[in-house]
Amino acid sequence: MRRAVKCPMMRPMMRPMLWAGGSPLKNAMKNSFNCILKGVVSPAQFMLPVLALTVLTLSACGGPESADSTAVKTATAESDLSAASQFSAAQTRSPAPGAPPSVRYLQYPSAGNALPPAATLTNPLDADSVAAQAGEALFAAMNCDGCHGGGALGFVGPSLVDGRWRYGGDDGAVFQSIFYGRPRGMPAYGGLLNDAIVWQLISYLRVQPEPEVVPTVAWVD
Amino acid sequence: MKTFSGSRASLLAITLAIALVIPGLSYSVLTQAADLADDGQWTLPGKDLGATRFSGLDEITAANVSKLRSTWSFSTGVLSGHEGQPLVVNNTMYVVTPWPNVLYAFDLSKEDYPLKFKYRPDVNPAAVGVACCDTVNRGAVYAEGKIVYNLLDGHTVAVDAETGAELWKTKVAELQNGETITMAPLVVGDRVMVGPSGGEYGIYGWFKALDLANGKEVWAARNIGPDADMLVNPDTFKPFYDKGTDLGRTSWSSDAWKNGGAPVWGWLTYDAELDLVYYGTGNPGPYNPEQRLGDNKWTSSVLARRPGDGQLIWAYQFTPHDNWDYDANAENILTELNIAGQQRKVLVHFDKNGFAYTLDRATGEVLVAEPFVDVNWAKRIDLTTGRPELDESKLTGKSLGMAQNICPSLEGGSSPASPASYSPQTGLFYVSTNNLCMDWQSEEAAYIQGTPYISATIPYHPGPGGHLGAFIAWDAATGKRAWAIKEKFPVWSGSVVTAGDVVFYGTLDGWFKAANAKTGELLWKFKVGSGVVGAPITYRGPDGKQYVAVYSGIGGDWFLLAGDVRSDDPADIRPPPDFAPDLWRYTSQGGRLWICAL
Repeated sequence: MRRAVKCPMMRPMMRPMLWAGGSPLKNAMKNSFNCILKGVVSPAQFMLPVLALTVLTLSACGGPESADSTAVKTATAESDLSAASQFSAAQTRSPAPGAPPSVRYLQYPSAGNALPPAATLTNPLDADSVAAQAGEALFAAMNCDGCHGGGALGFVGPSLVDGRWRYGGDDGAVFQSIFYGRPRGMPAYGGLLNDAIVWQLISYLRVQPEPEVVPTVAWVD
Repeated sequence: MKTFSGSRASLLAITLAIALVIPGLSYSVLTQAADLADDGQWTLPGKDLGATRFSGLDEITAANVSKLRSTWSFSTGVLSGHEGQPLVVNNTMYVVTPWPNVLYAFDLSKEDYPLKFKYRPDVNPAAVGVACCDTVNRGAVYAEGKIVYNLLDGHTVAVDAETGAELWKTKVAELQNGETITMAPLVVGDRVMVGPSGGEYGIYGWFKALDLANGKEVWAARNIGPDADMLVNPDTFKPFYDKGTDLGRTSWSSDAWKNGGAPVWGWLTYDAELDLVYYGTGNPGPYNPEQRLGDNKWTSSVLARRPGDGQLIWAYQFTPHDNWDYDANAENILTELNIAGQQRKVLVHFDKNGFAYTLDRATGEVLVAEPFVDVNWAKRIDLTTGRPELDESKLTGKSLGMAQNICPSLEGGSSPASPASYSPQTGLFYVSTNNLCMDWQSEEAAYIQGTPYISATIPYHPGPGGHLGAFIAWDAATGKRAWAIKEKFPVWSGSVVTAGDVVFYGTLDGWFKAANAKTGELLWKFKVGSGVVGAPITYRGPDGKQYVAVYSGIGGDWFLLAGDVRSDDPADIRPPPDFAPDLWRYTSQGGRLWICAL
């Protein structure tokens, strides 16, 4: 019963790539998700190529096999770096309006000011209260609270609701943290949870009230 | 002389059990090798195999300790909690840092104590997030030219004490299972004894013996589960209070034992005459006791095993069906005491549950069990059954909602991280204590391998009396407190007591202190820059003088609890705890080794 339909395959690619416009990614994800529903790939198989973006690409379910047919821009030694920078600048995030004036870790600096594709991921469930509720339940059920504390207020692991982020606070960075883990102990959940569920967790974190002030003077009465 | 019943008895050349009577003292110390008798050195985590942390040095006395001063100090470059103690062997001081578990070897015979070597193990940073409560390490052990210690990521290493060369490295714990290692190993004969941390990760707790020569595993025993896994032979396993087979399995509902915890993150002791190694086991998991009905043997217990083949000889459970995370990982100090007119070979244990236990260490019989801090979860320990008489209102569980005002808190009446000391001269034990209580709300916990298995909300509040801790002296023969020094904050350091009748300890607000061991009079204090969670030692330097050494460097549970005491991570800023809102004003992280002398 395996391989009844043609589904995502991972293929090494020689050159780093940037997603242009996002539609190939979206299409790939959509097609791949259909494949998950059909039970021919696991969520992990699905998400791995989506996120290991600098070396991997997709050939989508039933779609053209060749990575070259995907609309990509390349940033190589020979290509126009200024064009790449221009492209990336458009992708750079700024703090949300009204965000607290504090140290905010939006993302790692990018070489050539060119954001890698993962950083451009956005939560398709953003501001969805149903997703946030599901995410709250998951936050306990997946034992996130065991390290990050009830309400994600911090315990062994840092707070996730204080407006400060160790590994980047935008959607793509948080997705990476949950899906692949982080070097000082954040376990990788990507083998257990598919992308839709990870986005629910992120939705839960996003609806937590932003602190009015992220203190920069510690706790003086 | 006893020897191992295992196949390696012929290799035990250094394990002559010598009953050494120290002149003027009314007790005997069983020693493993000649250098253990030398008070100039500190070769084992607890000074001797009975972990008395008593030194026969007497240059520093109650009369002159006020002249003690710092003569040297060294930043370890690591910020996490500096638990445990240095070793001093052959005029070399050995210091193991918290993760990344660097081993420093200082040459005490040269001016300024330059490093002989600095050993940098290859250690997995992922362990940082699998450790429940900071990345601590409780120290190394010396044997046969080797420094042996554990890495947070689950390895035991042996390093050449002269050169720093790595002699062997053995993986004993599985990070993927939620196992890390923070304890100090003990060497008994040619066996290295180790156990894991991970009581908050649903581990299947164990205890292992490695071959000192090459690091190969000799035997491994589970602390819970079926007899076969626990190395229980029904013919030789004789717990004093319990009967039956497979108690480590049948005292659990369903298969809860499979993820039932029982870690070994505390201290080990050994009685050569009885040929028994003693260790405490930690809490059962998860915290919600309704998911694991029954006594949950042998969690929160002391186990006595034969080091030769690992056979379990007896076990005693301090807190059956532990509702409160009362790990029993505290040291089991070995000595002889006169109890009700009878000289007994005893084991003395200051449990997290707030009771101080004096046990017959040949059988596990409870001789004395009295509260050494405010206790309300149990009214008393019934000496005929060995069981606590519970206050039902202090039970916890998901269906019971928020249980109120349980004393002591899960930080323990005393933390196993802060080992006590015992002076045969005063007959007293010296114990760091916490005066905290807690409320407890359990939730259903789901076991997901490699993630926390806890699910409880447990707010703390101060115990009665207006102080959060005390350093006390305890008479374990009668179960009475001799004296107490109240401290503003919980006391989380180990202690050392000397033939000069001086006892040393440290405080969370960064003082290193000396008190009169007989009276509890505070004689000296010195600000060491960060809270003390390590255990002081004393030794004789190459110049013949007595020195005292201690780590500063707040951490361990206080990494979680102290509030904003770190400054190295702008993404991790913690509000102060409401039960100790001021602690952050007095200390910040920072590991440092201090040496003091007259």
